[in-house]
Amino acid sequence: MANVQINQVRKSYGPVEILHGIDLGIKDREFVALVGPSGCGKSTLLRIIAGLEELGQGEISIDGDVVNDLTPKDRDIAMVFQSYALYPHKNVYENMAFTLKMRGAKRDEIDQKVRAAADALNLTDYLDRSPAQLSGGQRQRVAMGRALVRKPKVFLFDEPLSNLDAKLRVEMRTEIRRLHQDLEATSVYVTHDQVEAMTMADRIVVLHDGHIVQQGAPMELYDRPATVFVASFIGSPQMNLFDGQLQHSGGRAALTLTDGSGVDLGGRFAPTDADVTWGIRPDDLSLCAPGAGVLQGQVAVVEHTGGEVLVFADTAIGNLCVRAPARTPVPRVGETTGIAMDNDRLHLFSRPAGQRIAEIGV
Amino acid sequence: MTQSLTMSRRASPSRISRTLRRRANLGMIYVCVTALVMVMLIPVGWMLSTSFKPLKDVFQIPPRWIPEVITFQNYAAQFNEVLGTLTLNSLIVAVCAAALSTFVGAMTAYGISRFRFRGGPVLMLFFMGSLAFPVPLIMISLYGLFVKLGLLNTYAALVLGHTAITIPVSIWLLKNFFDQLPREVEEAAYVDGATPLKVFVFIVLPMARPALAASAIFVFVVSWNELLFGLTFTSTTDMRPLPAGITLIFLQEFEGAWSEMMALAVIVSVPVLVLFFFFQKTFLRGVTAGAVKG
Repeated sequence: MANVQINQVRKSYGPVEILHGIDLGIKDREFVALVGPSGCGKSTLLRIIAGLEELGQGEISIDGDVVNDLTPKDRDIAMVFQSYALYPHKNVYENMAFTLKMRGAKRDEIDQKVRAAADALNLTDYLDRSPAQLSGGQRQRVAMGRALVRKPKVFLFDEPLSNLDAKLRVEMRTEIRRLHQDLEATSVYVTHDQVEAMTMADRIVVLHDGHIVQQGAPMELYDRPATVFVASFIGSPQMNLFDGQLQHSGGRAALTLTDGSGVDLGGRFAPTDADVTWGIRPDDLSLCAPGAGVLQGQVAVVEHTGGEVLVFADTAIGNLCVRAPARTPVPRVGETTGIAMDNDRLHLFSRPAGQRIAEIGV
Repeated sequence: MTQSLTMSRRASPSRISRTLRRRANLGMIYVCVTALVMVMLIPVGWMLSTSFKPLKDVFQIPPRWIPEVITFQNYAAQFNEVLGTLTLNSLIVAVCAAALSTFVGAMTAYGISRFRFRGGPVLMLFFMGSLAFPVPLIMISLYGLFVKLGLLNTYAALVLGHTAITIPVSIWLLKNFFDQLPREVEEAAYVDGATPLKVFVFIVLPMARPALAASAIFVFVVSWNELLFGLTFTSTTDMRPLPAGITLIFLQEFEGAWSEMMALAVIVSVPVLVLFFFFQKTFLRGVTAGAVKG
């Protein structure tokens, strides 16, 4: 296995620059997820690492060797595609054996490795079938089997679970993570699904408009988003975000909401006057009796997801979402409720720049 | 309540008129298609009818579709050594032309489909435009070329000639097919360690089987039926393909052995019919690829 170093990578299509000088280091055996909305450049970056896309400027090295001018076959990488990209005219065995055959492996070695990979992925009974005779989940397993029959330096995943149904996606998520641990592989995983990234990755890299806006451990991004974009992108349901005013009163910072009410920030932020965007996650809000709490809201929608209840309420400052534990009594649609918030979990961002305002001492 | 239910079940007048209009349109299409098929079948029917007639009945007035006297003599007379030679010649030329035109067409089409280069679209238009060249015009220049290369009266002259006139269609047909093949499959092969040539041979060509078959069938049929090059580029019976052979054997200066000629024409149509019978689905899949987004 190997580390991957990406230095000042730029990529343009005609006059449009897609990647604006990306710097990223991926450690040996690390599982890194590249996340971002459609068109942010995450798949382009992955394809550049694979050698499928020409590099505009910059340098890519795998295990210390610069691979800019190497073809995909010489980079010793394996890639799993969103559309599976199986060879339709070859059966499962031949699909998995192709890479070994292309690299001149002997027949016995091919057979042993293909059967071992098929065994690991529960594909032994399907080796004679063609891709058309397999379900989506089985096809994705074959695509993964094709990647792991040889031990490449780096595994690349390009939204591999997007075409699967929700149940299979959860199963495959666990399976990919398990394989990553078993193989002690370096993996780069592209997804637009932040839940996938949160649950699988050691480190998440958030891309937006061709820039890395933040990278870090999943909970670091969840607890301390660097920008309004990251705050809204990471977490489901997304963070509640509103405009407000940071003001200092009596040497302490206080937040004034758009309805004129104030929230004591308890000395967490430096006292100053500024326009801000403030955010609070649905988990850090709670429902309370009408008249109590910071805000009063009228319940618009109640969603029972089984493990929790999401209550969407219209308040004087806008619509917000509150996450409540399952089986707790929640108000019905149209009823008024009080909403309390954990002030220590409140996030502040500069406006209009959208950058996180650091807490004192952090 | 009952009344409103009855009303809702009853079709509205506008719906009825829409259905009628649709049926009328469909009826018109059927009439046109039937007329077209009739027009195309008349020569075939006449060929069949004539092949079973004695020569004296061929120009009978009024003409008869079903012969008064049915004879198999015209067929029996065809099974001789000359027919064997002509058929073998045609078979060699058509198979070689189908293979050459399809293979070269596939490589050209794949190059144009996958690699962006200046003039690619213009090149495709040029290929299409070349179909508008009159075949006799091409024939004259090809004749000069084959004289210089010493290829006259060889299979090579016919194979190259037939390849030249069919390759634009092969390229168009195959390019349309390659355009809609998912590139990710080829990219997966590159990542798996294949070189561009191996990707083309082991991945692209097997996936393009329907289009390759369609192209090969098209070229085979054109070559099998082609008359002008056969007459011009060959001078001896041992090199002559079927259409040229039939023409020279049966059409003399003052007389045409029409019945026997038609019997032979029926015999030589059989391979093409068999080809279409077995490969019609593949052929249609190949020629319609890229026509419908799917």
